[in-house]
Amino acid sequence: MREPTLYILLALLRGPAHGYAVAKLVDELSDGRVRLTAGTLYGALDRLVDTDLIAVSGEELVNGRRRRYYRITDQGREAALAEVHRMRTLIRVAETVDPSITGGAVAR
Amino acid sequence: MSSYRLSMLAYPAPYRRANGAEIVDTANDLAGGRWSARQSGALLAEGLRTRARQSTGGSPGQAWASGIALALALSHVASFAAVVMVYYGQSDVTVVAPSPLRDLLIVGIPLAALTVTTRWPMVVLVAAPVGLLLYGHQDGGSSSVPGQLIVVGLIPSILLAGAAAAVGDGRRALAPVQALGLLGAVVAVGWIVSPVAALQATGLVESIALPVVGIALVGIDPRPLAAASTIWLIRAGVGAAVLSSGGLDDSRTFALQTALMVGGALLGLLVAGLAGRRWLPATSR
Repeated sequence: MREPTLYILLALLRGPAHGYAVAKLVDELSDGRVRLTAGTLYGALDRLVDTDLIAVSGEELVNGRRRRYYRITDQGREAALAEVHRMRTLIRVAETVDPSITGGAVAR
Repeated sequence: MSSYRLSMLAYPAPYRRANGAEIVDTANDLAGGRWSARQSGALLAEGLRTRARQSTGGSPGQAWASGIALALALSHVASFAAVVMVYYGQSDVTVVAPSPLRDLLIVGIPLAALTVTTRWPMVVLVAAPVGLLLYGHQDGGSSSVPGQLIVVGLIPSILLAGAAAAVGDGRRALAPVQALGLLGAVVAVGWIVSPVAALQATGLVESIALPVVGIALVGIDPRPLAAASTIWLIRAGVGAAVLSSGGLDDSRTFALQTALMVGGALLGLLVAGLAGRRWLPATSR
């Protein structure tokens, strides 16, 4: 799973959101490190909908502008969990190779 | 659509109608109301990817097969134009004979390399020497081949690798815009190394048109694999027939092959167009 994709899933774990809100939240969660463009954002959302990791939960019209809301599915929650678990394992392996690598910030 | 109208054209029309306004609104909001080259470039790249995805049910392999077959057909047209130019004395550059095997290798090597790695600079590293060797040894030896022809000969390898990496969903996928930028640089170097050749102009047009048209056409064709294999079958059949008869001269063989390849590509597109075209925006399903 690519990093922006995981961030989008994490953002939606907070609750349903529209595209722009997802992008802002990802920016916030990543401390400005992952800055999505509209192109990559909607491309990723489309792929996640296609693979049933998220779903369109509704639509609203604000000042004549349509906004679609997305929510994470159970499958999406599991996928995010699996990815985080994979990373945690990776960190543990890294620590067995070189205990100083995480600088004491141990993941369990 | 305002200032992102041009980049939005990269998206398939039905998708644009369904989602375009919201995407552009978000692009404007994210860029703080100003036009942003970064947003614009991303829309262009994602639009082309959406075309590829839409047409192939998400399989990069199928997108490739189609794009490469069509790119080859177009390349053949461009080469044929060069042969005609030489034939009628419009160009003094010796044109290497068309070779299905050479084309197959030039396309096949980067493709094979890409199955191993999606880091396209690696692919170019593999493809470039192969392209050089194949072109360099035409006409019995590299000494009889003009330098600019070798440079032009490299271009399809680099391009196909770049275009394929851009369309594929590789993690290091190169945006089409960047691929074209690099291509421009390669061609510019070619001009400096060996300037002034009529064929180079053909090579320039060919090299820019190939990836752009190839990627765009991938989006039109919903059954790319069928179209691609049709073209390859026709190509192989004609090649074998001409080789065994030995009756035609180069330019006539070339003309025949070109007509059949383009006809095959168009037929494939037509059949695919009639059979397909049932696509819905992913997010409104």
